[in-house]
Amino acid sequence: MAEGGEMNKSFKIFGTDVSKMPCFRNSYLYGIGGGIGIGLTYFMLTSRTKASCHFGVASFAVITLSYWTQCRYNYSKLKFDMARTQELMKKHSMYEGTEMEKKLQGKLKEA
Amino acid sequence: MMTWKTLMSPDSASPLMEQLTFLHDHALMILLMITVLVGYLMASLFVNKFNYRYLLEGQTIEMIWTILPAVILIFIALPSLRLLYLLDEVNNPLVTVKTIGHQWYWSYEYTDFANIEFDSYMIPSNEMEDYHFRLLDVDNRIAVPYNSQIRMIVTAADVLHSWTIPTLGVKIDATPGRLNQISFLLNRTGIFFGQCSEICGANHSFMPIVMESISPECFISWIYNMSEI
Repeated sequence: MAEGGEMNKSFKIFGTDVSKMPCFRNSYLYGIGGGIGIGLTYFMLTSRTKASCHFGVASFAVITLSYWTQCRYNYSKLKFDMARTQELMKKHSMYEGTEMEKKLQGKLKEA
Repeated sequence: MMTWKTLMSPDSASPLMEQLTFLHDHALMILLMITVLVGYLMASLFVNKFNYRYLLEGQTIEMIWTILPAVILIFIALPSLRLLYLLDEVNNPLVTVKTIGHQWYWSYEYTDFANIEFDSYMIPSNEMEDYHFRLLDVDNRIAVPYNSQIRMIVTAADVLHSWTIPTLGVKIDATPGRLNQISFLLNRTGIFFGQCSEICGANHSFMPIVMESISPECFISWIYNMSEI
């Protein structure tokens, strides 16, 4: 049973669970929603079916790709920062109580 | 391990394989969008009535459809080059394992601690138990500690072979008279499979690779037990 909004649904395409792919779900949700929204809005304003479809599909592609690129870039930066932090924490626990720790704390105070 | 329905990458067991999977997802997303756009364009050709018999050139559109693909390729190339250089980074391995390819089995040597050498033959179908994977399980697996950098030195004794484990993103040629080196890190425990990836004779398909990722304590006991054999 799901508790408090937990989503455990897996969505597999060709054996790959795409729900576990970072940024996939949000990219497609924004892309599909934005494409339908822009297409419908254009149709409401102009009543031109073909042009609305063109706008809808083009918006879907542009919104999906743009969101995906910026989300993956931020995710990559976050992962890199987390890895660096983990590495520094390991070094900190290694240097704890040693001369090196005193030297580093001295440098930190100077800075 | 790979199954029949695994058309894309298997789940990763190494940070580098994870990055390779991310690059694959990124490139595939771009390709999917291009396919959707081109497919839609082609479908809309069925219902359009554009007609101009005297069309000769269109400088603006030709500029657009030259520059836009170049920009898309840059978006694919930048993460790819970043990963390419990341794969070649220098690190300090904890354990070195030497792998020698033979016709038709692999042999492994752990010479860091004690002189441990063993051969790894595939378990034939007529000798396998119910819990064995057919044509994949071996009599002696390689054991490595997880969360530790492992250096693998690969060579061959007779003909070309290739040592690979897809979940680690590792594939390296075993060339006679040459030592090839690769480094990887396993970030979870488990049993990982691979198969020889360079044609090497009649039983090329029957010399699998099985790696067992265990805790450092278990690895030390394994080394101790192997050195006593």
